[in-house]
Amino acid sequence: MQLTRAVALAAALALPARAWADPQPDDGASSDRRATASLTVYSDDDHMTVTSPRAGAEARASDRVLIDVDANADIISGASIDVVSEASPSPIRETRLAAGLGATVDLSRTVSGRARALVSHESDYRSVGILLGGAWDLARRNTTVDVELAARTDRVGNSTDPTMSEPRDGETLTVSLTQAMGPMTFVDVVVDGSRDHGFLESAYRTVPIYDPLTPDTMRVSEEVPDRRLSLAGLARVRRALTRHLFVHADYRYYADNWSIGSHTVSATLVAEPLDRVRIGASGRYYRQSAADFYQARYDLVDGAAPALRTRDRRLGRMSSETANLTVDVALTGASPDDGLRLSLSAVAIRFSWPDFPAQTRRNALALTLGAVSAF
Amino acid sequence: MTALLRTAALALLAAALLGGCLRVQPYQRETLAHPGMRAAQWPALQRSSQHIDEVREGSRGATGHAGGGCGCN
Repeated sequence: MQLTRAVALAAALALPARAWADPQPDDGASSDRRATASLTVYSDDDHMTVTSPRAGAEARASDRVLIDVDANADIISGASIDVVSEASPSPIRETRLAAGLGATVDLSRTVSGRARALVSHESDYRSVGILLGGAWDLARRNTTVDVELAARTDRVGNSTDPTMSEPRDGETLTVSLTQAMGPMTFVDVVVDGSRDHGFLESAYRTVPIYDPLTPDTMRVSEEVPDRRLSLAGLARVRRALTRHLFVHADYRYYADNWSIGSHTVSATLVAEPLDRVRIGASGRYYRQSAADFYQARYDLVDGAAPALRTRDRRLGRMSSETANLTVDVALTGASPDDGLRLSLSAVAIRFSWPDFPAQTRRNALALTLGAVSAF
Repeated sequence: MTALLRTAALALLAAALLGGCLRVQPYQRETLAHPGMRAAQWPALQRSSQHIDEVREGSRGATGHAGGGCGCN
């Protein structure tokens, strides 16, 4: 039902006939068409490798309408303890395919609307989503307010049980405000509220329950609450230090009704050492508290398993540190938004889960090669 | 959660009110329009990194951004 309502709203927003019937003069966008392609390879010391090709394109359908499309895949192979049970130590192979189609409509010189549909498919999980948004430039374009509503409906399956098809749905409302604080500085404030409901467990994960009086252990399916409400807020400053050196710094706070709270701080330095070369270096630190029902070990209580139990390490205490280096080179084109650009990005991440006995640390490396062509 | 919601609303209100006091003129916006000032420097690369964070961490959201308000067009 939520999705049906969202589709109807999307149709109403994405098809404003006025936008085609009353075109305004071109605002001077540098390119009408843009194509992007990237390949990311993620590998970690938990024997997981994910190869993710991605391609996208956008083009102006008229002076006021921009259409965009993209497709991507995650080709997963590995033997992580997250997905391989003790009884079956064989590695997994899986492919997730996703695609999106969107439109952005300039409703006036200062107001735009956008709609986007997303689908994702893998052998045991399907997802359909819709996103509606709008942006308003205020105060002579010194202020931008952006509102976005996203809704999705998923079906969770299990490759060993063809009859399983459990619903999992979610809605997210995001309000963003960007303010120019002077000729060298932007400040962004983003507030994001989400609701997830339905089958929020993993279809595969089981939890060992220990009998404190005997050496016996039994394994039962994971059980978590079927509703999760979360709120996140971000504050960011973007400042030019010189004409060719920029710094971005942000802080994000997150809280949900499962008692998880998290803090994220990150900073990025962007430099242009040469005319056609842009380099970005960033660092990120993330720390979260555990869900109130998360335990490193669950024991029988009065002879029964606890009603809520999980072995999902993401619901326990954790932290991560990320370092990223990106080099971007313009091969052709007279301006930053024209021609062909190539970029290479390396990301190193260290995850720590102090309350997850099976594995307390993991190191990962992700390399991305990307190309953007505007013409 | 309620305290966070109140703080977030206050932050949005304060930022909106600040917008009424600060006016950057069009001829002062060359630096604001520079690609180095964009919130999403390399969108495709950042989507991949964000995807990894979402898969590995217990929280998500509030990673987006508004358009920038530089009035460059």
